[in-house]
Amino acid sequence: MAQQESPARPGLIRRTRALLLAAFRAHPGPMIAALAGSVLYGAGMVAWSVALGELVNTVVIPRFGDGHVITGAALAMVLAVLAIGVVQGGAGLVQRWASTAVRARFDAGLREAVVERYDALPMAYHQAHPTGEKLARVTTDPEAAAMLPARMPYVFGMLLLFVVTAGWSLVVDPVLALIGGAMIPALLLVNSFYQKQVQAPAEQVQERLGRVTAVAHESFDGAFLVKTLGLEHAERDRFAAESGRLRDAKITLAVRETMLDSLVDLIPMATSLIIVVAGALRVNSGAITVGTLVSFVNLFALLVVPLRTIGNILGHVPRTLAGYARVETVLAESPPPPVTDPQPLPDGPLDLSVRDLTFAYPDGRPVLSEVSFDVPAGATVAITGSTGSGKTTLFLALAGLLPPSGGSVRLGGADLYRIAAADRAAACAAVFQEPFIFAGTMAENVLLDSPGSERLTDALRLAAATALVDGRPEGLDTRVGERGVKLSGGERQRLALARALVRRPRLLLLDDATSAVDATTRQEIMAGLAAELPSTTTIVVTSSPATLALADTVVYLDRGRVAGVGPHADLLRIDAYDRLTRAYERERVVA
Amino acid sequence: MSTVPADAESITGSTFAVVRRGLAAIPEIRDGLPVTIFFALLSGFGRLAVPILVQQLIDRGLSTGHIDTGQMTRLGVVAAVAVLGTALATWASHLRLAVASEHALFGLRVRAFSHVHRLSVAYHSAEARGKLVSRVTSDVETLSQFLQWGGIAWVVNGAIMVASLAAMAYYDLWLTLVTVALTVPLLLLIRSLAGRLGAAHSAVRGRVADLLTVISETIQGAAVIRAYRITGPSLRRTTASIHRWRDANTRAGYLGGTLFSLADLFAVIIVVGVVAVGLAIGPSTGHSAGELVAFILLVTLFLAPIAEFTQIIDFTQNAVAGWRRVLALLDIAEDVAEPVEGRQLPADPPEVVLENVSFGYPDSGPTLIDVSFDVPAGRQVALVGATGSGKTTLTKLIARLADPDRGRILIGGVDVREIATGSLRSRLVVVPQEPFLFDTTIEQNVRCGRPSTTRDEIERAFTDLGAGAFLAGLEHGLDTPVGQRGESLSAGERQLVALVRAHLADPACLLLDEATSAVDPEIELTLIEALRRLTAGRTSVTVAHRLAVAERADEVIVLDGGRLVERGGHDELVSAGGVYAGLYDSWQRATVD
Repeated sequence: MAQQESPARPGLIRRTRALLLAAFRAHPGPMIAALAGSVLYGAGMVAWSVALGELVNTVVIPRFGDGHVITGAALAMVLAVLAIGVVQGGAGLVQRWASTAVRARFDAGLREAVVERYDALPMAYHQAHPTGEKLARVTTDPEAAAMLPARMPYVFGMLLLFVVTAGWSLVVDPVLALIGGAMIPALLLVNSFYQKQVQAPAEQVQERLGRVTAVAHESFDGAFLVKTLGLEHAERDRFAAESGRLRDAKITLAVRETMLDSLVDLIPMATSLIIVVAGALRVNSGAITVGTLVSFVNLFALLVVPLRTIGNILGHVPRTLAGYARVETVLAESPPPPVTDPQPLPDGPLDLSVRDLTFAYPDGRPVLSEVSFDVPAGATVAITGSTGSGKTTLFLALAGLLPPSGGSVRLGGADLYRIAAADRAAACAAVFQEPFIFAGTMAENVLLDSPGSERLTDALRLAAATALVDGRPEGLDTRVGERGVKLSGGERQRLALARALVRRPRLLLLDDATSAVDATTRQEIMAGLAAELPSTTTIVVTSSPATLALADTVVYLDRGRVAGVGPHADLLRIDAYDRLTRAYERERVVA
Repeated sequence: MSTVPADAESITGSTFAVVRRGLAAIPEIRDGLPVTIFFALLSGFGRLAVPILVQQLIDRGLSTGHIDTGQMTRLGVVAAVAVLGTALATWASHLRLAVASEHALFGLRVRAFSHVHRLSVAYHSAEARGKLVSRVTSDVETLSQFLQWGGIAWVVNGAIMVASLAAMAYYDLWLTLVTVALTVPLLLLIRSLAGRLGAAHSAVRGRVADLLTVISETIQGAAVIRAYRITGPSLRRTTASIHRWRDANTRAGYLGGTLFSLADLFAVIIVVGVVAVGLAIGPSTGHSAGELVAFILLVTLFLAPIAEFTQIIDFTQNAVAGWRRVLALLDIAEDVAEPVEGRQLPADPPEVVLENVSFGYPDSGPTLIDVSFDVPAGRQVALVGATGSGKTTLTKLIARLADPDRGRILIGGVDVREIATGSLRSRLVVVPQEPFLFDTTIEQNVRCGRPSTTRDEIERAFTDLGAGAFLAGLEHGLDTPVGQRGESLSAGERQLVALVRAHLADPACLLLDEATSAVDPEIELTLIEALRRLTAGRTSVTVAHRLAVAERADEVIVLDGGRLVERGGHDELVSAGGVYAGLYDSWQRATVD
């Protein structure tokens, strides 16, 4: 702990103060209650020990010595001790409840703030940060950050207790005070040594537990293969090897932990012993009374728990500050400014015009360069290209989710990125290759937040999802499980498509949205869309030749540039395009 | 299926019964346990040293203001030895227990892991996978705290309390009775609160799980939420679930705080009560001041473990929850039992016969109904049908990854349930739709087909299947790392590696599930050729999604809703104008413009 407050880590105190101030501003009531409770609790501990000693001195020893004690005085003394004890117990309750309230509320407050910010931040932010990292900002990081505001009042209260104890004991008997006082640095030293000693093995345990989890996950993931190749024994050995390493790391940790735990246990016991013996000598010499000795023994016994707790809290300060700092980085991200002076969308079918569209990652790597094409109102345009050609980036830009670095996208004559978000959402619907299905019913997933709709039947039919709903006993009320695990990939895609269609969008965007649906059904869906939604402008990212053939125009992308625009049949003259799209036919020739 | 469904997630029974069964499941914990408990008891009794010392000092003169120095030194030395011995005994008992419990957890983990692999594929759904992983990791881990500390804390704290009580009774029976009488209401209160605290903690665990689900949905569904502009409702849902979690958390915290404060308060009441009664009885009973003071210190010692018990109860409840789940997993009977004296398959391509096979997954309707057909030795059969018609399940049954509910499957004239598992796995190989690759190199992945293979043989296997060019095109060749689940390779490349792996295993019978997902055209041709060479001269059943495969099969089996509806040659079925003709027609329209 000492080194944490040294100039080498100058930010620590400042950052601790900032975190505590933030918590105080957010929840002043519980923070004040926690502080008051802790101070009273600490004071109660001292008072209780002193009063107990006085009780021994003024009542117990005379009573057993000559048998004469005034009953009233004895009763008053006993009641006073009881009152102190009860007040202290009450203060402890206040402190614990207030600390709970601070922890839960501050933690929840940070989580809400981060989730709100996530919703406000653009898609580009979400693409740039992995899910696990974003999840940690809403779970473990706020949890770590809330530790300090919740426990710091206790630390302050106990520090006050130490100061009062030091003052009282120095006044009463400096010799015993010094002997007892020596316990504090000894405990803190052992404690800080302990923190350092266990840190490395504790991290190793975490890391190895991670590896055990990874092996189990991979092995169960490949259960089918493990079975079919009869690899059960090899897998068992692999898992046992990792588990064995975990066991060894945990034993190393246990050796150190138990060793240091025993030391931390031994120090106060030895101190009590020394105080008793030294105190007896002091009583012999007439420096103190037996009652004072009892107070000393009691008080130093009471200090042990707070000392260990404080050591523990201070040891966690860097971790909690790191958690808070990570939460702060999310909150420091500024959401894009709202569209000022939004452009209105015209009524009726919408055309789309893409001019010199460019997109580059923040590190400068270009993904799309000067992409231009037009989609007349009601037409279907397919976008295709090999892996890494920029199809998905272009799709996100056309869906209004990824503002391009340069160029423009105009929908019905209006700048796509200057249309009010509500208007855009009402006019456009996008379906992604990996459809996101929420834990809930099929109906909830299709309708999202809109109320039940008579368009639902049509939407399900067009998405070829009628049978998958009717085939289940609970129909639309079937619960699909977390991320739709109870559905197959193709079923999830069809449900997501129905979700888009139920909104009757004027611009429909499909990103390989039927890739997991079998070819026959896919063809039915595409033909149905073309026939029944003639005024809907449709953009479809695909590698299916049949879908390409159905489109009015195909935009062929190659490494972020438009390598060809025109009907499928015309583009086949481009060699690379031909190779990309006609594999199925060649398969037939070979077969 | 007649077996217990996989989501019988935890066993029932009282806490005590679960702990007893749980301990029986980890015999390693019993190694040297008596010695450990001996040390633990020693450390419990050692704590009496300081109170007894105080009593002795006071009574041997201190209360009169003076004690003989020689006597004091003797007492001090004895107490010092006791304190040091106590520390050593504490350390020994804790360390021994920690080591024993880590060995026990290791054993339990590995046993649970092996058990998972013995279960049929019916239990290995994507949905169940996360749960199975938690069973062998975090659920086993919850036992750690209990075994290392909570379990023995019952023993040690019990010993401390009994020892204090015995010492107290030695000093004064009446005061001891006062202490016990005042402790009983505290224990009753703690008991009732601990029950509620347990419920509150499990409510928190439930809320944490809900919160995780909702938050990961908001994060992973970011694109959908924006595209459909449902930010408002989604945020309301998340906030509501954060609030529910916060409130559950607060409730548990308040209960815990109350419990600790009650213990504090009762300590005060009991100490004051003992002093008051002690004073009232006074010296008439022949007691000394030192004995009363020692008694008070003993009362403190007696009560200290009670506060700790609240935490131990929490650990115990956590451990019992973990145990319930792990034991439930171990309780699932192996539904695909290894035959006694299993029969060996001959080396030649076998004939495959299905007789009236019916099958259903746990918790859902029938997947296959009364399917019968036969594949003559060395012939190729294609299975065709719409999504969900039962094609893939059928291949799993032939490979005995699960057993049919009714009917039987014969390979080479032998019921699959009677074939030795080793023989079945070596003579019959499955290539699934999404082949699984381990996170190592291509070489390692291919080698699991036949562990004794040399590098040259692996290279030759690629050439044999016409994939030599593909291998040559890789910068690191066989040493190319494939990434998690093989994700550094394209879908087509993963399939190719799986085909080479199957080829190396050199089976007599092949079950292939063709991929539905689109494959890069460059790799497509290589795959088709590899598939053709792989099936040549072997009995094979191929689930065909692209009907080109069906066109060249010896026979086509058409499934619809789990039933066999048509069978015959491709041309024959097309001209018959039934289900297959319809499928073929739309497939053809889909692929040719």
